[in-house]
Amino acid sequence: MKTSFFTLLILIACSTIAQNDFWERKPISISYYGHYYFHPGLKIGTQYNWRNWEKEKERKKRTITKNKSLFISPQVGFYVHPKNHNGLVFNVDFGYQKIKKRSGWYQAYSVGLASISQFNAGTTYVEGNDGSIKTKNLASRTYFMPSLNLEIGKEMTPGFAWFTKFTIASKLFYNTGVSVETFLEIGLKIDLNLLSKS
Amino acid sequence: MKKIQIIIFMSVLALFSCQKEVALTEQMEESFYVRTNNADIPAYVYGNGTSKVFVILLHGGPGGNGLEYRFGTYAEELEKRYAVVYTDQRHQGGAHGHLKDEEITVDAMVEDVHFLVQTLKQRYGNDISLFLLGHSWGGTLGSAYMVKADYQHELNGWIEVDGAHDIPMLNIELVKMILTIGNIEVAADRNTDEWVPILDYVNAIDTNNITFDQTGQLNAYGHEIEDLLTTVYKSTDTTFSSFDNYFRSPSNPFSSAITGVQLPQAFLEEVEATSLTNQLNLITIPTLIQWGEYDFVVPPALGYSAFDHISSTNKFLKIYSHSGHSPMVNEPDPFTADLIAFIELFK
Repeated sequence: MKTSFFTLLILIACSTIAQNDFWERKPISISYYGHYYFHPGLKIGTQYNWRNWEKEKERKKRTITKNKSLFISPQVGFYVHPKNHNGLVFNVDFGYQKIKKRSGWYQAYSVGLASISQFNAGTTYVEGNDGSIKTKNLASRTYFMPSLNLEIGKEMTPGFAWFTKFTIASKLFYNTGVSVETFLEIGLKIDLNLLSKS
Repeated sequence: MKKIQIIIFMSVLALFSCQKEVALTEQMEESFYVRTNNADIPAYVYGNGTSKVFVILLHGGPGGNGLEYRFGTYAEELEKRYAVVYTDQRHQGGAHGHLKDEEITVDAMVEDVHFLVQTLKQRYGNDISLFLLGHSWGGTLGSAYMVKADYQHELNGWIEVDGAHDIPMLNIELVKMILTIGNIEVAADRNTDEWVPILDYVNAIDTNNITFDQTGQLNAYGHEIEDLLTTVYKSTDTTFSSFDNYFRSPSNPFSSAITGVQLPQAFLEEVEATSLTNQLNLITIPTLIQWGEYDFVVPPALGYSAFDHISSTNKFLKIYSHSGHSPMVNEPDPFTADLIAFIELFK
């Protein structure tokens, strides 16, 4: 049920992206994806801005222009907690982003909805119907994992930015309650189309 | 796009399929899971597998985790000689699953241990020797395992360390012990400011009707008292550095702590009512009981009780006169020597 819900979420996000010709204009992100910072992994994703507006603030010496947007960002991540488990995460973030036009610095705040499949490390032994013990590789359980995210980054050149993102998340219906997870991402956002033009 | 999806899928599969064959080596360092009654229970195996002797460690709590016991002299010495299986109990440590409150019971955990024992034999061979070591709450769980069906006969020996096989008895004995030692300490004017409020609290307890909240407070005072007593040796053992413990260990102390405090209330109440004294006579396999003389969490009266009631012809009681609730920490050398001597005798 939960898996279907997330498949639907990702499909909606992708179809919206396709309708808006996203691939010509929006970045692909690739990042180190650290569960509890030090359990290493990799995450890839993209971002679709579905509302953009510009705001100007008058200062004494100059005018600061900020581009603001509301975005949807589907991502896929994978990490390894050695000798414990491997995690496969399908995630969609819904967020707000503001970019200083002059410096390229940006901040983003988002809420994520994810499905995390936790694959047990090593072999998992299960009891067969006949009482025998059978081995099961790739044994996993899937949990619904909402999250809160804070991202900061900087556009270095048109079509190329670095970013770091902090996430606090919770696996729901985990045992009889919830878990607390935290993630750190450090990565790059690349708009291949813009990069090739520059 | 489809090609990319296939490449990602194949890469993930390749990563998952990198599993070593099971081999008994001198420096084993591996993990596996048992899936039983909706819970996935991890087992982390460290140490010398060539000995073909496996010591299964049942952690305390409830709410602890197995790998928090992997430190210091006793763990190092055990792992040099034998393989130690640090496991997390259901709804604790790294154990996980979609569980309902009613699936968290002492009996469900006994069944988990039973399945783990069978799995160890399948994984490492029927010719391995198995010892079960339970500390504190792990002693409660281990005792429950020992008295169920013929499960004990799958083991070579049972080691109870400051275990709590009878919680109602524990609470009554703890009140007695706090009053006895507390009054001696106050008379000698040692830590009087700390002792007086504890004695006031304990004096007000009706031992015929100790409430759930009072047991929690008694437990908290017990830990506090051990720090007050100079007769209890402080640990000199090196432990995991915090960094390793939090970020590099297969266990996850953050997640473990959060999971542990969410154990269902009904289970905690079941534990508080657990009394196995009248069934301890069913235990017939070799048994070693190790206790700190100044254990203010599970008083040594329970160790004497276990020793008196267990039917084994090979049973040993070791009391450590400078130890509290964790003699493996307070007096690691004699504790480890006794433990190894017992295992050597019955492996």
